[in-house]
Amino acid sequence: MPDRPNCIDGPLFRRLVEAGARCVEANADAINALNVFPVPDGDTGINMSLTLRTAIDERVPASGTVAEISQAIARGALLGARGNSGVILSQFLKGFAGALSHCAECDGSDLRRAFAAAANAGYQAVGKPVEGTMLTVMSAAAEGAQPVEGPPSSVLRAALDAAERALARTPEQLPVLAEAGVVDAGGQGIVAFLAGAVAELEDSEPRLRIDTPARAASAEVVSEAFLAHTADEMYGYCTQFVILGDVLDLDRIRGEVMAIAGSTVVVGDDQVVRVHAHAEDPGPLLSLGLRRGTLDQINIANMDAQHVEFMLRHGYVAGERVEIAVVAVAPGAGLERLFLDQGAAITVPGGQTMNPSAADLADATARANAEHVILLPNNSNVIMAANQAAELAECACVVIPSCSVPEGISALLAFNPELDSKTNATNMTSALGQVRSGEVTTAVRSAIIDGVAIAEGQAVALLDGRLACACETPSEALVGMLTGVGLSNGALVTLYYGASRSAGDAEADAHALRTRWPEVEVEVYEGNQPYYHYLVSVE
Amino acid sequence: MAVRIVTDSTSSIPADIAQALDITVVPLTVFFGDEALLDGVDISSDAFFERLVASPVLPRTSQPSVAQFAEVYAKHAADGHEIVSIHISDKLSGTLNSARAAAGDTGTRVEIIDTEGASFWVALVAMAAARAAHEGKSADEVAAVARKAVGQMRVYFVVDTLEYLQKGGRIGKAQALLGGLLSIKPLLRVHEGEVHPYGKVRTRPKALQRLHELVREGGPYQEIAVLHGTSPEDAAALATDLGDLTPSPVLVASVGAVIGVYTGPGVIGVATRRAD
Repeated sequence: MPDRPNCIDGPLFRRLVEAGARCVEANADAINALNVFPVPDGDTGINMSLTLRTAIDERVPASGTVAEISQAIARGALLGARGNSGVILSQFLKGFAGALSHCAECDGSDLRRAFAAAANAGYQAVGKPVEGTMLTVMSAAAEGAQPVEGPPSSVLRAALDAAERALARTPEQLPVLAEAGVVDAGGQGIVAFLAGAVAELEDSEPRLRIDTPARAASAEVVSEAFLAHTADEMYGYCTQFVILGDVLDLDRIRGEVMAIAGSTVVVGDDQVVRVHAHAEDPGPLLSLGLRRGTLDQINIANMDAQHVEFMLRHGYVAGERVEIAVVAVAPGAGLERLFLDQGAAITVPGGQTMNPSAADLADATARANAEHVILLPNNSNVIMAANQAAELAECACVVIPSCSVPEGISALLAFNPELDSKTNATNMTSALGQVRSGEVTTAVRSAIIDGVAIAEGQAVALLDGRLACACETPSEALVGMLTGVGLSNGALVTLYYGASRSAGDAEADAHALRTRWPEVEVEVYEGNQPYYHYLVSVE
Repeated sequence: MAVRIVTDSTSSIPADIAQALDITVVPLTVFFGDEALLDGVDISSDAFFERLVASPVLPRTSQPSVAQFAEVYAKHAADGHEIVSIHISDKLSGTLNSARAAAGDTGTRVEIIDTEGASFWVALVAMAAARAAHEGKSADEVAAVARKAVGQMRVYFVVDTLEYLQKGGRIGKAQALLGGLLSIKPLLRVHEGEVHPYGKVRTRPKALQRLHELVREGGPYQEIAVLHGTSPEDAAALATDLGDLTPSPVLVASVGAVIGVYTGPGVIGVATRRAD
């Protein structure tokens, strides 16, 4: 039996959080697989582990009091929060740290208080708390910890046990989970985090069983998401590529990449490693990859050029502060162009499967160099991070809760730089509801949703976030979804085609729609978004 | 001695209203090639838009001559009247210059008002002034009424395309909306005497809805006028929807030939004069 301390000091606290983060990261794929819709979307496991990764970065001191270290971790988490699950997690950590703000070390009773404060902070972060989610699991952990009179290890163990029991009950609380045959992904993330910390304290291996639905074997969908652009630097080259080999050493490659580039994400296994990094010179990065294996899917974007092009287009004078500016999240080069074209000052790459962090968004608001910034998250899983960014931002920042790209475009069209930010916020918010948003993508696993059987690999269409139909081809899914809309004469359908479709594919699909609905206008724009064959607006 | 109101044909003021309120309308001229037509005299709004759509070249316009104004002013002067002359923004037309030049030699008092607006904005100001004149107010008082009305005016309008404003050189700050990747219907307003962008929508039904919302937000009003190119049905429907925002009947009128050269046929807009 290892030594179980009666008190946790600063360095041990840090080790526990690190161990929790490692456990979340190790189980990220499995947590991702617990999504309700079998489509590529804001992956909970990735979002939580990326949030934790920034929580425990170099800004956290190696030594210090529990108060100092927990505060530093909470600050990092608030900045790094990605996706709604990451934001809620960061609020837990903030609440936890708040309760320990006077502690040089913490004992069992301090921990009990911190758990209660963390659960409370989580509930406060969510506008309309829903039970059966990670909030419920965290709240159960806090309740489980309360009656324990004992050392930190007993408190943590009780919290974990209660969290696991609550997690198992989440499908009873949320019918969508029961139908999808999964437990809540965010709740699973909390359990993984606690399991990692408990194992560290007990000097054992984390014991975790995650029952995931059958999922496509291809690592593509999961790993690509790790390539979430991090838009924290507008300069240099955004360099992405895949290394293929037989015995790749992931950790070693990660270390090498981090040594020569910033904003690095390196993920994969011993055969496929995906690299995303920002560097002044992409050459050494590619050479490094070539030394380890063969290269594939090389994509290099000049962020300087993007920046300069933007500045020129919009007549910006370097350093000149503007009164009001829009920052928009856009999941693809074509969509970025459209948002800039319609008057957004800055775009942040991100969307489904690549949720930007609160810090990415806060940095973009700073770059907009405006007195007032209006943020368009354009994805329901980015809204909370945008709200967090608005709080972090130094300028006055308003979030217009756009849940989709079509809603974001609609809101941006209502923007008028001559008007004040309050009037703009009102106009833009009321524009959100004037458009319906559709998506066509490919199912990443088989599932039954709302009684509709979906086979892995089928094209699925969603309308306003709900499953519309599953068909063999994207073209059929598009027609199926629009049939359900009930198009009126004079309606406008706009197709933003993704990276998987060619301009010719999109035109052919548009032609079919015009033939079927002669009274409806159909417009086609290049979106370049990943995974989603089409983003569709109907108005 | 009384006060007489003079305006120009860019006010889009319907003939029956001008006649009833004793407002003299000085026409601008629209040219199809070499053919010169007096706005509202030689060519009606409907006839103009028919020709506009069919014409291979864009028609040109010209402001009234000094002589046109001098003739009108001289007649009122001969009858022993003073004049308040109410016109389109001088950033949009040279009409005011002609009026000013003519005013110098009239032998009576001519008060010139730059309404900083166009179309029914000008008409609503002229109508307010005409009513004051009918009540027997002095030229100073009538001019004050007109200037106060100018401060109460708003106009929002939507065009199908910015092409006409651009080719006609009247696009003003709406320049910013040109050349976009996304097809849009620009929502515009006249502000500080120029055309400014106000917003963008993607379809005409939304444009109409947006106009409605914008007008509704700013109410109540003394008067509302809906103006259009070739969309009397849309205009009538909008007028009905806005009827509760003003005690007066909502006016509906077509914009006329000269304004039509710059807006194109698809224009629809709402001019309002807010309550005191």
